[in-house]
Amino acid sequence: MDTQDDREDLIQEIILQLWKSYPTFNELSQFSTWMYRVAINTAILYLKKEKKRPDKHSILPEMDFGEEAEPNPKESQLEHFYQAVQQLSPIEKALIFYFMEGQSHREIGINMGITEGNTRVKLNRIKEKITQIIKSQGYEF
Amino acid sequence: MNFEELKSDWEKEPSGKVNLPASMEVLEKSKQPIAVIKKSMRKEAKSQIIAMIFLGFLSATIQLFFGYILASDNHPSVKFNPESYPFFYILYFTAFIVLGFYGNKYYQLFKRLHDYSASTKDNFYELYYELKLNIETYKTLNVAVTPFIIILFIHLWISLVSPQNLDIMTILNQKWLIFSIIVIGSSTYMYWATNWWINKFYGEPLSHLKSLLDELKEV
Repeated sequence: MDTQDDREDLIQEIILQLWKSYPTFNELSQFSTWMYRVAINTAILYLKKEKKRPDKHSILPEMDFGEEAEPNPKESQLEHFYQAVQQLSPIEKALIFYFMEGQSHREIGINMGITEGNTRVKLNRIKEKITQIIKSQGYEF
Repeated sequence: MNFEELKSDWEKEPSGKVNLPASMEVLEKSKQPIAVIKKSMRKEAKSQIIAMIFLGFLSATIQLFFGYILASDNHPSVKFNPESYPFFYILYFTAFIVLGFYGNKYYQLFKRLHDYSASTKDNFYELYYELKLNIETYKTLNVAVTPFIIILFIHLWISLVSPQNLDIMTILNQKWLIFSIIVIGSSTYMYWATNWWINKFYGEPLSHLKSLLDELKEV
């Protein structure tokens, strides 16, 4: 999400949903697994609003990589990555988020309710899509 | 592009500070599509109950006003058959029982629309079918209550304008064409209005859920 307000709204939605869903936590799974699921499911449903505002997805409109500002390459890569992720669908965002959080294909599959093979295929496509988006902005790393 | 390298950079990123709200009241104003649906469902249930109560009072008031006050002044154009009271209220309370039955089913489904803890695909399937079931229950409720409402109004009308020496069946036989048009017209309108309403308030979240589920299908 691009703006601080949007991010705060989403955080509030997630907190509210965690609060309401807590009685369903049966301790059969780890608390962190349960929390991830509630948060991700809430975010996927909430993120549909984004589609109505395609103008928000323009890549790095206010970023300045001019001579004066020498950005840290690592930070710059992450920044481009974040902006590319903005162009993904909510499901793709969830998959790449789980991946970045270090979950295995099997764990991602369990959390998303899809097979391990399907997870692998989808993740490869998403990574390819992100690479293409970043390349189309004239950046490569 | 090296995603493993990105992943390790992501891990090193400091996590942002989360400001927890001071009270639950702030959180209750959720903009989640499902929360918005639940809110509109709650409003609809309330307005249906109020409408039914209003109908009961309205007919009682009309009957009292035209039947006793005007008739007692020997007003020539108004005739009222007080024997129609029991029929009206038997029908009215039967409609209330039907409304209560479906209302309870609706409420039970409504309460279940909050669990987000299953895997994404299972959770969305559950939400999708719960929502569809809710919509079908809502449609059935309208189909079940519509005949009662139509008969109540026809009965009220006949009670007010019919000469006292004619019974309801005689009047229905005499004016069957008008009543058939009223019944078919009102039923068609109710059917159309229900579908329009559902599409307006539930159509978008439902198609959003469907598109998410399609995206989760095996590739």
